[in-house]
Amino acid sequence: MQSAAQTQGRNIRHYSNYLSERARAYRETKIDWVRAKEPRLEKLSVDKGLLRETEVVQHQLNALLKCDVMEAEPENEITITVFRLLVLDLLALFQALNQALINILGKAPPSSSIRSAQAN
Amino acid sequence: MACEIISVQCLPTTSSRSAIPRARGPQFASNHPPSPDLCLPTTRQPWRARLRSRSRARPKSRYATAFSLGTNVDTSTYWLRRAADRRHHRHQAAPPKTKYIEHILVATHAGEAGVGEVFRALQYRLRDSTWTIVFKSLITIHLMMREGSPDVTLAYLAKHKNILAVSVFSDGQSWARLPQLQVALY
Repeated sequence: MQSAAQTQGRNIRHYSNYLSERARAYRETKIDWVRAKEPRLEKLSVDKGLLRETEVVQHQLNALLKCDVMEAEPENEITITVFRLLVLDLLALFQALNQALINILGKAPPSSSIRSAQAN
Repeated sequence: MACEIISVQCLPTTSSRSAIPRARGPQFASNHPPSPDLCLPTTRQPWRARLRSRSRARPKSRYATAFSLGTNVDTSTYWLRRAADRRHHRHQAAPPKTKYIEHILVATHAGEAGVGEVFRALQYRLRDSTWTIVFKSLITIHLMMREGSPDVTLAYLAKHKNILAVSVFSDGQSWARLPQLQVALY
């Protein structure tokens, strides 16, 4: 059984890790993926770095999913605020990643369609 | 006794405020707006300055220590109560208030300089050993990213990578691992 300070310390570590991951994603792509207005990954071609940018978004999403702040039993206002902010970020990132995956699947070579037919 | 103290405390301001209308005569009884010099004593100073001026003007009487709050409190009790309030607020698990966040968000629109100023103030709070303070600082940074001027905060963080990498030691567990980490770093 962890003490409250240890739980919150772990939360703080994950949360700050997510924030620095978000800063790193910005450093690599010069795009804030949470606030990006236009669906950029929907039209991007592979030559222009579709796979690379998708990977960056995936890394950021991974760091976000690691911080489960509501796991601790005694909930307080701070944790709830953090959770709210994280969920809002999560929705935007998930949308971006979905658009990227649709784009990637649309650009995939036709041989994969045979496999998908087999899968069905 | 209490009203006597209040009148003694307010004596300089009330006298200056009431002296002018009497000199101007009956025109002030009507609905004329007050002249600008009448508004001067009521403008708010920062509380530090107010306390300083008040303590300088405090009379010698031992009953006149109420800081004109309308209550007859002794000075020591007042400051003890104030400190207790502060301690209470400091460890209260409440998110940062909107009225403070607003000013910080305005500062992000001042470009690189404003953001740098905010982060300089946040640095010490990120190194604090109380988890509420660290959490609140992180929430502030997150809100600056989300609702401040776009891309400015992220550009600053991308340039200064080590700002966010400081709160690793804020849980009790990693203090035990600190020597190991130091050895690894060395």
